[in-house]
Amino acid sequence: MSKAAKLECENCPSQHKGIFCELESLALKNVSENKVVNKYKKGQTLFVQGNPPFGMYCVSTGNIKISQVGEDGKESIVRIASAGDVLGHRSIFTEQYYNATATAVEDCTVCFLDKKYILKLVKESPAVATNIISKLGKDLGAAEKRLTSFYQKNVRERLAEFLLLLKESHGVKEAEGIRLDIKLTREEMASIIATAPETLIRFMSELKQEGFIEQKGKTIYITDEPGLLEFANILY
Amino acid sequence: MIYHLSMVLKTRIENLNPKEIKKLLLNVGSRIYQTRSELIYKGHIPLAGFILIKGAIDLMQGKKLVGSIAPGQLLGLNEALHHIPFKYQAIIESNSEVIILDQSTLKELSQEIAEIVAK
Repeated sequence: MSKAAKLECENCPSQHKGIFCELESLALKNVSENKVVNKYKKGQTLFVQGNPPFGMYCVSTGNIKISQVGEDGKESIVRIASAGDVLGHRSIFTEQYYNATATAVEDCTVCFLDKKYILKLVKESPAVATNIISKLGKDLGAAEKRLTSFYQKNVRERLAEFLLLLKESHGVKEAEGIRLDIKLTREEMASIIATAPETLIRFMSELKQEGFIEQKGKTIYITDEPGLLEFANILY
Repeated sequence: MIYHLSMVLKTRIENLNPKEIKKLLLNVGSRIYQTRSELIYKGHIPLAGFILIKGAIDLMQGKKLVGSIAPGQLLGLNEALHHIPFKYQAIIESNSEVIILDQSTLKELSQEIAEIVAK
């Protein structure tokens, strides 16, 4: 049986985006030696709500949805993790079981470092500790912003805001506009902005009619960013 | 030398008696999987080796059940030690309890065995 080819940190497509990337060459090599790399197919789970954490995941390529299932069995998508993001980091420090499920929305390459190694790295490397704290801070800020949106914005505004967020994380400038380099189903998008898929479809059509976005198949292009910003009622 | 030590470790862990499993439980601790889920996907390198304490783990080849792990048995240790892709899909049943032997723990155990062997 052949061993899977291992992705070294120095050759990672997400280099300079992750929390370990600033480490010196020797330390980075040590991280490479201690990690486990796997390719997850669309639909496969990295971890499941209610199960025990024993390490942290670092996304090299691909997009992963983080979702929670309520008592009624309904899935709500909390956020999308993409290349350079880390997952499971909160559970390492809180000792709590996973409160969400991480599922690949497309084929992904993900690295895993166990908890013992992460804690050792945090003690030895202030840069890693700082980056994790910074990441936790950004996560908290994003969660607070999202909560505020739910209270203060209507569905149209939340949809526009969501598309602008995707533009920040997944936007690729092209001739037609800014292509959102992520494929989400209507149900997934509706879940993220807390609305029904039918409502999402209606408001997507509105945004197209207004000229803010264009759709080619499943690919969304933002064609009028200032217009979308105003529509989203965002004070930048 | 490293391969020899890992084979010694593998053999040693495979032959743990109940008293030694209890000691490992005290030192490493165990975890309960509350939700039925995939522990290892086919073709993946296991993130850790697992010793099943309570419950069940099914081994699947597609939709076909090819085997089960019973309490006291190991899962994925050889593959985790040598970074070898796992042949099957391992699904852990809800409320199953396992000892998780992650890479760091395996390295520590290997180091202990290396010291014993060196004496």
